[in-house]
Amino acid sequence: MKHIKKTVLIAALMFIFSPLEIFSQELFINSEVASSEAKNRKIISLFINGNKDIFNYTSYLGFMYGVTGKFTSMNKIYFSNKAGEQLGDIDIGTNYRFFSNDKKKFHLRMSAFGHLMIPMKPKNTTDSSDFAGKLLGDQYRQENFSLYGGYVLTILNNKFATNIDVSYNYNIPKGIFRYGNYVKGGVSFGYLVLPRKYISYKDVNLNVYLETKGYYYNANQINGNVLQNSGGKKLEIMLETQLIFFSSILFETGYVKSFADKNLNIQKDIFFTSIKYLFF
Amino acid sequence: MKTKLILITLLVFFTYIKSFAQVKEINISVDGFTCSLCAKGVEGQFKALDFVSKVRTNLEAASFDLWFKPGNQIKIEKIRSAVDDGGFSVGAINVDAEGTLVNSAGNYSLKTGNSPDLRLINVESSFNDGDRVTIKGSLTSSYSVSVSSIKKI
Repeated sequence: MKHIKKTVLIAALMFIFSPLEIFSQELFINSEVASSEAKNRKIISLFINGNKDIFNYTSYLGFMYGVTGKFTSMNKIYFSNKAGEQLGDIDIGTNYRFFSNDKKKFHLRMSAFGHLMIPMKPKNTTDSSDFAGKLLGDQYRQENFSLYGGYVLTILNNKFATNIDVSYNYNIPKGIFRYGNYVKGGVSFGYLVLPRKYISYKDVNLNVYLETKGYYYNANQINGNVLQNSGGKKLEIMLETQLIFFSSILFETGYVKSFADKNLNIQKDIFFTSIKYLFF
Repeated sequence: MKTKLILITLLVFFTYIKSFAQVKEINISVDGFTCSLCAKGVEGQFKALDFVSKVRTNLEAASFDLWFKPGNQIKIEKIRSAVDDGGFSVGAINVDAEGTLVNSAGNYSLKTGNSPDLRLINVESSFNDGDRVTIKGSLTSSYSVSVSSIKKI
C-alpha cells in the first residue's frame, strides 16, 4: 500500500510540473491504445518475460500493421522456455479508432478492439486440482480459445497521456476444462521525460509509464462444474521506461507487481524487456 | 542562325512562364500529433504522393512543408487523405503560389499550372485581370484561399 501511494504521488507531481510546450506520448507498453498506426506501417516486436521461475506464455513475438489510418492489425505468437511447450497461443487482434478530437498537441480518442486467442497445443485436462486457482494468462493458456474485446480512451495533453481501457474475455474450452471469463479494466499514465525540445528524428526519447490493470475472474469449470477456490480479483501495477532511438527502435523495460486474492495464489512479480522496430 | 536564336529565346521564355506559374509550397499543420514516431508516419504518407518532391518536417511545430514535382498536378484531397492515413487530423494549410490572376466580375482566381485554379478570397480590387502575382494564404476549402499577402511581380 505504501508502495502504491508513493507511485501515485510521483505520477501526480510529474503531471503538475510538466511544462506545456512539449509533446506528449502515449505509446503504452501493456495497454491497448486509442491511437492507430499509420497506413502501411509495419512493426515487429519481441517481448520477453524475464522471470525464469514463472512458466507462462507472456513472452511473445508481435507483428502490427496499419491497414488504414484508423484500423490496425495486431498479432502475436506467444512462447515459453518450457521444454516441449515452446509455442503458446496465437493472438489475432484488431483495433479500430472510431472517435477523434484532435487539436494542437492534444487529442481525445476512442477505439474498439477485439482479439481471438487460438491455442496451439490443446490439452484434455481431467485433474481439477491443478487448475482450481489458475488464471487465464498465467499458465496453460492452451486449454482454451479466448475471445476478448473492449474499448479504450486516450487523452493526450502535451507531455502527459492518460489511458482508460475496459474489456471482457470470453473463453471457449477445447477440452473439458474452462477458464473463468473475466472483466478487465485499467487506468494508465505516460509521461515524456526527454527530449525537452524536439530537433530531429534522431532525438532519443525517454518515456515513463505507470500502468494499472484490474481483473475480476469468474470461477473455472470442469465439465460445467464450478471449481471451488478459483476465480477472484487481481491487480497489476506496472512501472516502465521506454527509450526510442531514431524514431524507429523502441527499447522497453518494466516491473510488474501483482496483488491477487489468496484464492488465486499468483502473487508473482515480473521483470520484462521488449524491443520494437518500426519499418517507417 | 537568327532562327535558332529566336527559337531558343522563345523556348526559354515559355519555360520560364511555365515554371513561374505554380503552387510553390504548402505548409500543413497536423493536429493530434504527439511524437516523432507519429510525425514519421505522416511524413511517410506525404512522401508516397506522386506529386510531392520533398517533405520537411518541423517536429516542434507539428507541421510539414511540401514541395512539388514539376509537371505534376497537386491534389489537395490527397494531401488531406495522407494526414488521415498517417493517423491524425489536418490543421491549417498554408499556400505559397505564383500565377496569373483572373478577374471575373470581381471574383478573383489564380491560374497556377500545377493545380486546379485557386479561388481567391480577400483580394483588393486594385488588381487586374492578367496580372502576374505571388500570393500567400490559407486554404479554406479544397481550392479556395483566404489571401494574407498578394504582390504583383
